[in-house]
Amino acid sequence: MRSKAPLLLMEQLIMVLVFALAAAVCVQAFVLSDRISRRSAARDQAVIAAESMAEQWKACGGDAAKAAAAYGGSVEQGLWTKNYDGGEVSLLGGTDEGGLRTASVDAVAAGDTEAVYSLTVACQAEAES
Amino acid sequence: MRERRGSFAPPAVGGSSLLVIFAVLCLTVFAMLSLATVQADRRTADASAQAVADYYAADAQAEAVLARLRSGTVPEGVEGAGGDFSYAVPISDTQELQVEVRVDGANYTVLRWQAVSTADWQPDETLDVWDGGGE
Repeated sequence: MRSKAPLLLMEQLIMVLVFALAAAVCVQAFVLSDRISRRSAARDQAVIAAESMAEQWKACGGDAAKAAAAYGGSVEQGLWTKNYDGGEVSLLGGTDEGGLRTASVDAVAAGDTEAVYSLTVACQAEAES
Repeated sequence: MRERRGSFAPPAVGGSSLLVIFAVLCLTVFAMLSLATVQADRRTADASAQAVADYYAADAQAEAVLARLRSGTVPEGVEGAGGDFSYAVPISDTQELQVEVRVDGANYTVLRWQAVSTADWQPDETLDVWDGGGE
């Protein structure tokens, strides 16, 4: 009777190759999932940070310096910047036009250069009576 | 000892194939599950970000209408007279921002600034629940 050892060895060799191939594909899928998940989490945080900053700015009547004094952060040349857990959020006040004051809020995740989330916010140029 | 060594049988052909098939199936299922979960999370995050952006776009539009009212102009779609005005700005297909303001020259008071659902609500009356009345 012929030995089955070569057949067994061949089978194991092929199976190791199949497993390696499948594992490589699946690991790539896991890595992609992780990347998408991190991006979604970063954007969720950015949305919350941008919304929060917009509301703080509106509550202070569109005065970035006043808002920075009340809620933290720093103001330089009309740019109010604050850090949050996942990055940095900044508000740049626009011009007053027709009694309306506008500003744009940009949230940039840590390690990124482009804004993850942006908002345009407006309030009345003068405070409510 | 010699007897034991002599009775050693090599694993059957096909055993490793079965194991690898099982492992690959598990890996594939978990990879697909993680991808599906992450895609669902991303859709939720997209919807949430879009909802916030839509709200602030409507809010800016409502502020612009208020600024025009303060300057003495009554834009189209604004109802009211004698200083009390009300108007609505759509946020999405199912929501709108309803505003009521009292304007006195350049001064103003916000009486209402509320996001309201405009979608039809259809209550589920299939369950026989307690209606608050007696027997």
